[in-house]
Amino acid sequence: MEYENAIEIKNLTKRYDGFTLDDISFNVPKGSIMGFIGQNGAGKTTTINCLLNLIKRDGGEVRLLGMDIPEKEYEIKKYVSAVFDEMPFNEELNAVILDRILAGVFSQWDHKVFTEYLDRLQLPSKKKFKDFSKGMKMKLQIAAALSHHARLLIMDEATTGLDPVVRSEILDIFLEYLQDEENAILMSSHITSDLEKVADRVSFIDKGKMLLSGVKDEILDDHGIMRIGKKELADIDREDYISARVTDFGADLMVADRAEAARKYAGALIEKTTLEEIMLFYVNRNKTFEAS
Amino acid sequence: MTMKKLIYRELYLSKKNILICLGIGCMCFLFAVLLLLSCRFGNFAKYNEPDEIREILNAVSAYLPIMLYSIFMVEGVDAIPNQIFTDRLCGWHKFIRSSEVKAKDYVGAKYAAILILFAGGTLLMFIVCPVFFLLSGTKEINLTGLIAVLDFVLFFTDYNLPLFLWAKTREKAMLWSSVPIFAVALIGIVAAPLTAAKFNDAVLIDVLIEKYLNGNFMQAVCIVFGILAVLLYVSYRLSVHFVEVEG
Repeated sequence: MEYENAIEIKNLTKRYDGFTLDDISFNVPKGSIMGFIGQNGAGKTTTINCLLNLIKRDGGEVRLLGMDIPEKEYEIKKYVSAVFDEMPFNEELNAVILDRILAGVFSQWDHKVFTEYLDRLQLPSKKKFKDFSKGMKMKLQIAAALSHHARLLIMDEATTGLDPVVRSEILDIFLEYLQDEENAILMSSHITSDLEKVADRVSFIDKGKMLLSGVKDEILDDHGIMRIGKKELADIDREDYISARVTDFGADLMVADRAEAARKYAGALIEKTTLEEIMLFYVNRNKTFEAS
Repeated sequence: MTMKKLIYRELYLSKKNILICLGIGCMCFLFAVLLLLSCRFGNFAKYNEPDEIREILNAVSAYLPIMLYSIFMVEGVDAIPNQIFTDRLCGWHKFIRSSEVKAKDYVGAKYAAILILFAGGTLLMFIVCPVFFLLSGTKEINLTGLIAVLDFVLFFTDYNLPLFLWAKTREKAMLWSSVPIFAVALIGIVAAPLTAAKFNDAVLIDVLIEKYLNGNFMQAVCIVFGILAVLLYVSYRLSVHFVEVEG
């Protein structure tokens, strides 16, 4: 397989009553982790469902591992693993039985790798899944996803609801998985702190529209929070900031070009920002909102 | 390989149903044997004439296979659609569709599992009934009843599986898709004896009953099962379509 981008999405469109996934485009180069962020209902899961051809798209192109979906759907899916927010395995099963079943589901299933992951993640092999904790269920799902030599891992809110220790353990496994530069991960989440730790690139979607997509460090470097007094807010050109948050002590403005803002408003305090704040200010774009 | 493992999963998850079937099957057989003992040595033998005892044993002999058969059939009909429902709830359905498994294999495994449960029921009947026949000296079998059970089960399989594969909840499924499928299946069942019947002056229902029980019995049976087999295939294709297109 020859490809540069593990995922290529161009102008992806999907229409529902009351919601449209509108003209979404982004690439995930191999060897990288793409953080796919947005509020609940922003369109992350719809995008992932279109990627996996679980729902039919209304327009646009999707290529995974250099091949077209849906033309080469089953060929592609040999090398793709999807991890969802809930464990998809019946709770009456145990890891031994699951191992046997998944050997039939994935043509490249590796019993040895699966067993190693079970040991490493301290997952009991004969205990029924109904007796597993949420963290154990997620670890099991990750173990299954990584045991058939997938080249692309697609995760839909997989770390949501997990405690920091388990999340950290899982993030470490992802970084290890990316040691092989042929692999790539698309990780949808609204827990931006996780993505800040591991993602190379970030795409931010809101109400079905792509607002930002690019290299994470560049996005974090470019954006900044300008802290000013309430009275000074009127002196700032509207086009120079995304949105403003009014606090008891003043106003915080999200600027998309920190260097330019520093030059134009010399003396203003402009601090580095986080993905969480970028998300918050973009969701409230073109308006002034109050800090909660 | 894929099908084999998926069938294994279906049967593994139907394990409880199968054990319940075997348990009830054993109880039915035990009950029949106790009745037999009573007819030979107990109160039944004491207070009934030999002809009456013979009739009782014939009745047990006729209905025991139906009971054994229907337990497995109905459990099979119930277990697999329930499994589809659970698959939806736990996300297996979505997981399998995100994998390299084709819709026809996923659906095929469910149909195959049902057919295996049918075969299991038949086997159980063929093992247990001759034992009772040997013990009791009877060999009455209610063939019409047996065929009716199989007919009923195939009919429900035909419309239950696509129904459950299509819809996210049973209620929605029942509401939207059961009516046309039910109608088609019903037409099949009614059409079979009708085509086998000669319309004399008899009332339609009499013709149906008579032809089913006496007249062109085998012809009616063949037509019924022919139609049900075609419906089973249509049901399978419909299920694959629902999984591929509707998700």
